[in-house]
Amino acid sequence: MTTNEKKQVPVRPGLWTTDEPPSLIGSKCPVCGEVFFPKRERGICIRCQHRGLEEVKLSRRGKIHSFSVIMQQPTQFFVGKVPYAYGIIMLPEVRVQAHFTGCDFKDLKIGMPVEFVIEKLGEDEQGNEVMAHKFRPVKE
Amino acid sequence: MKSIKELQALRKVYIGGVGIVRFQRYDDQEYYDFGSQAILNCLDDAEMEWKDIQSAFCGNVYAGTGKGHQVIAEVGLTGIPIINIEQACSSSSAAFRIGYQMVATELYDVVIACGFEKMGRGLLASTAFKPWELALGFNVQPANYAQGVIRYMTDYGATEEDFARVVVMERKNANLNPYARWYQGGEVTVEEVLNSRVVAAPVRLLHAAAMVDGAVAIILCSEDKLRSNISKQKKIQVAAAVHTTGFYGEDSVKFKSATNLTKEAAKQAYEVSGYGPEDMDVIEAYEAMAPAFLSDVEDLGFCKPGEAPHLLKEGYFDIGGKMPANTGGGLVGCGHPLGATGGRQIIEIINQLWETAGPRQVQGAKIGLCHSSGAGPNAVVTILKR
Repeated sequence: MTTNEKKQVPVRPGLWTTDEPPSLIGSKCPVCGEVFFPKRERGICIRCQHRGLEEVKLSRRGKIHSFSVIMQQPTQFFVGKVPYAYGIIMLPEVRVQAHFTGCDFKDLKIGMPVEFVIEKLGEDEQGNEVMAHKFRPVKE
Repeated sequence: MKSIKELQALRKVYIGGVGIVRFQRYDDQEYYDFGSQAILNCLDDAEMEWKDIQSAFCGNVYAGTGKGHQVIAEVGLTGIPIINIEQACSSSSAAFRIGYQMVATELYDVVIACGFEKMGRGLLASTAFKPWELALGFNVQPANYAQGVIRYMTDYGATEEDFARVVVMERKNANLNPYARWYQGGEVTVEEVLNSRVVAAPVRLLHAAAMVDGAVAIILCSEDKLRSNISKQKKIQVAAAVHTTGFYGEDSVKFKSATNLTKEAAKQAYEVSGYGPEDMDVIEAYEAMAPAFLSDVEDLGFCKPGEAPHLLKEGYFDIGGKMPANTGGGLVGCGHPLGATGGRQIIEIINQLWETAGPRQVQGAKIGLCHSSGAGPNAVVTILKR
């Protein structure tokens, strides 16, 4: 690593695996079968209240369930740039909320197939690159 | 929990009086200034004195420690219990419900439910989101509404014109409401709405309720404590006051959409009151962003999913229509001071049942329903009858 390379930090630790290709990390309830994202930190199933969830890798591909393109700056805590698009992606296991990337936002459509990527969201106050989970359109 | 029959057997609770200050910016006042004015207006309306009030329930979101105490300190210090209630945009309708319960269960005979809010200037950081969600910009309320709006368009073929018509109706009603931000504000057209800038596609600037300040107060009491002529001659009884929060499921907890809890709150309110949607003469449906009105009236049972757009177009929800809704202008027409909005909605129904709504009066209104929702999520459904 050269000195001018910026340090990368995730927007939240524990969202994805460090293997290649990376996967989002969820929690699965061994009793009722429900899957959650992000993983439930205290391991309790908020559907059936079973304690002792198992960590699972989520599928990398899903479909857009809904989305919006945001034209106004949210708050000073937002790390990215306006305009940006986020929405709900239906993975086979669970719905995930994430940004969209790799396309003209005008082309986003409900039902569009998308895949998980890790991409820079912006930079924090220390100059670190803040990395986020995003989804980009792919061919069926 | 009490059964439906036991709830129905509780002491009857009546509206003693209402107070409101116009929803607008009060740059030269603090929340306790216009908040206490609403209480004074309410006492005058009820023909009561502050010493008659036995407990106070105060809805507010942003004002901080002891806010209800600060407001009431401007009116009188009688040592009564003052309870501060924060339920986001449904704070004062939740406060109304607790006040109702206190009188219904005979712990008190006369209580006041208040709501007041001085909105921040500029962007507000919601504490209902985690720090990493704020970093990702997931806290944009118009965008979170937009997620549901785009689904609604896809599922039912609703158009941008349909959403614009909600704004047109509400601004038309607000023109007639002296307490509304857009009182005498002129009518807007579908084209003006469609030409307003996009905040979070497909939600536009004119879909959004304006950030204004405001305050409300409502006295709830037992029948023998009613004092003013109107409250005795046209007695308004609380037929149901229900509060629900998120149910686990794809449309509630996970994505903060209010569908399931609104349906459940309405179901419980219909059961307790013994009425159904077909019995209502006037309704208030919560819409901080205009498109939500359409799915709300469907969730509340006033029509089937996807039917609201064409009913709206036909004038079904107009003041002269079959199911008059948001007759005071709704949130879009009145503006939206978070902690005061729920009570403002209830006061609109009260004015309709007292037949004091002036040019926006629904003829012969006897039963009304008020729906509020708030981040959390919360849904509050109140049914009043004369």
